[in-house]
Amino acid sequence: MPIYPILPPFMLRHIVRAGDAEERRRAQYTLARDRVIRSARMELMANIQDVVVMTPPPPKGRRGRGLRRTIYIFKPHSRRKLPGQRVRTEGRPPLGDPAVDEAYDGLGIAYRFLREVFGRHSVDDHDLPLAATVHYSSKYSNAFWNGEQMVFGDGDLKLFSRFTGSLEIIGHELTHGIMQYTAQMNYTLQAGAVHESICDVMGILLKQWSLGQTVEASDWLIGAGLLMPGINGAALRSMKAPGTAYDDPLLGADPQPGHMDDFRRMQHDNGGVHINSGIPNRAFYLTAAALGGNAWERAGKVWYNTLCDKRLRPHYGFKRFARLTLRSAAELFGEQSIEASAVREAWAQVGISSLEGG
Amino acid sequence: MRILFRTEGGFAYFPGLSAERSIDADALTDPKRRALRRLIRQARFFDLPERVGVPKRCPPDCHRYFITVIDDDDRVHTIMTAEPVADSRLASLVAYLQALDLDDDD
Repeated sequence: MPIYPILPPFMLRHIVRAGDAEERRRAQYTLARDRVIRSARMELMANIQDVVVMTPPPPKGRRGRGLRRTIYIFKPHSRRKLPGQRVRTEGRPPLGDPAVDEAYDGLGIAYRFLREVFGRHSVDDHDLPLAATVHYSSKYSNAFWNGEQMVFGDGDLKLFSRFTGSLEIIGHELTHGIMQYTAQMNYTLQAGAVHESICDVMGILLKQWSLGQTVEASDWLIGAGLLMPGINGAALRSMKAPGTAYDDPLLGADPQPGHMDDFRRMQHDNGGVHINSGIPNRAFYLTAAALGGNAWERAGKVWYNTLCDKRLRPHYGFKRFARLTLRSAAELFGEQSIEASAVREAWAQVGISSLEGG
Repeated sequence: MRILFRTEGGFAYFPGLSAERSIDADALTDPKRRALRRLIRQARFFDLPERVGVPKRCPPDCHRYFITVIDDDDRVHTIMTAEPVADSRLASLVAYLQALDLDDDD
């Protein structure tokens, strides 16, 4: 099954009415499956059509209040509402619960990283308090930003371990929050892949900064250590070599492309936002690798400056985003700088060239 | 009874996990089949609208679930829901389907 993938729905409905038991069952299955696919397609189309240029929300924090963290534990029996039960607030000692303490420490490192490297005061640049819920749901293998806070699952412990165990994932989710208060990039197709890539860039920079790692010393992996022992893979994504993070009978093979020649057109994953992000991810890696040293000092500044650039529109795809990174490099370091040259060359290496003008 | 279950979205895309899962309730062990039927009944699945708690713009990295049930009376119903699933009964059904996904012996 499915057995009748090309029959039109009216014929399938006829089989449901007139066919024998087995034919009816197959036709029902195909009809139901089509219905699911149609729902997904409708949803993607709705998201694509929903390209509205929204004004970023006003900051919710109050500048000068500094770092304020609150960690919650999800309580499935209390109406399943986020954030859950408050278990650790700013200044309180470790709880001894790894997920709670990793989230608390990770948010602290992320706050200092934003402040010291980019001069940014928290997610909204106005010291928005940072909140995270851990132990979300049951055996939940995911992390997400819900518009107000971060949410982390414990992993199913078969494929994935705790999502708080990976600092770059904490940085990635926090950056979704930054995007909400700045560029508001769409979350579908190429713009969505740019959105995802910016979150990976900030996530890896956070990890490198916290470890004092140079470009050469970094593994450039997103979600390193997240896959359980026995799963054939090093991480969820590789920024240095997209498409090589894992190849496992259960997970499949890492589908990320690292060049426009391999760009994937698809309906799943909001049009491949976590797949095609491999292309801008690699462009960032190549920029940083060409410049050497600490990636957050030059390549990172170019990308962060682009993220905050008012010329960055929510629907911009790879090429227009690339143009803005080149402009940022020129504005920060000079048009003839090695930084601008590194940016131009990096994008050319992933198949995006002719960035001047436009 | 047959259930089709697919998870969309999340922090990363895994080809091996993105496929639609088809669960034939009759092929499950008795306790699992009974539990599944009870959860579908308790969720009032066939009375649910097609979208349950799905915001117009889903948050980044958020999971969405597509569930289709074909019952013994040939009724077919598909719903889409998203994390966090606020309806606790529907959340229990989603959690059960995810746990079945993890079992190799079904």
